[in-house]
Amino acid sequence: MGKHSKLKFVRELRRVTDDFMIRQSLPKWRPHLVSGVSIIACIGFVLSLNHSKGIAFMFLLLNLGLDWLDGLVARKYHLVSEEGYMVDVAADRLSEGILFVMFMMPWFYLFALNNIMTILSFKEKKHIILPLRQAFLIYFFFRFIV
Amino acid sequence: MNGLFHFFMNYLIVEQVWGGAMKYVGYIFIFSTFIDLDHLPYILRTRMDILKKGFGSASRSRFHELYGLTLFSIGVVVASSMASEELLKIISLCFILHLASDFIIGRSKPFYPYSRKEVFLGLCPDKYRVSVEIVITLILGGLMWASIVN
Repeated sequence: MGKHSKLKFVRELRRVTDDFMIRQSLPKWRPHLVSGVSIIACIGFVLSLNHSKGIAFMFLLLNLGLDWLDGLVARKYHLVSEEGYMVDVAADRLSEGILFVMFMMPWFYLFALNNIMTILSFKEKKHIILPLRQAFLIYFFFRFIV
Repeated sequence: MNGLFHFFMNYLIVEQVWGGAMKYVGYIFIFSTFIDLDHLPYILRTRMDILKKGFGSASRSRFHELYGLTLFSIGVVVASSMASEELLKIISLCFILHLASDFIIGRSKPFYPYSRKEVFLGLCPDKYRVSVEIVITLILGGLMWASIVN
């Protein structure tokens, strides 16, 4: 992942949030597997959305939690690699696609923009991506849960 | 994954989410399977070896990866002012779920053509893949049949 450097303030933020977690005992799961399950959580979100917003919110939290966990596990057990970066980014875009299909405007539009930024980021070796799911989590909480 | 698997799964998901999937069955079938047409050049190239080699990441074009997802999402944004929103949601979901299930189960090159690195999530080991695919396809087909009958 070192080849695709994040912006400085993002690196600092991640250092603060991740350092504590990496010192904890984390399950030694394969990071790729965790990424795969995080996509499946998005399918759970779509299926539950019309039945229970609370359950849908839980699936959204699960997706973001697993996305965070795969990076933590990779760093803790020294499994960080170019391949891991690709899996993580591809899983993120596919998760966003599945989540935002249900909310066309403006989320799917931003998703299209994020896809373009992903391709450009990969070519430029600079990881600049909009944190859409994190913003969506806040939107969803205040729009449907509160 | 095979075309029938994608069609059955997407039909059932559309039925669960919106209901009345039969109304859109043509769209669901087309947008669940048309991306697999990019296997044709590979099939013609390998011919009889296809039984031995199977459909790995080599059988996919750039349109089966993030590149295709990007083009498709731009296309949906452009079409959003012309087509019905529900139809766009259904076809988008079918297309994205196709890419997602192929990514989860099989081998892919997410950043092809910018990188040829192949990734594999390992959710389903290679030696069980064909059996798992057949069993899941049959189960989904049965569920779809039951949902139509009911």
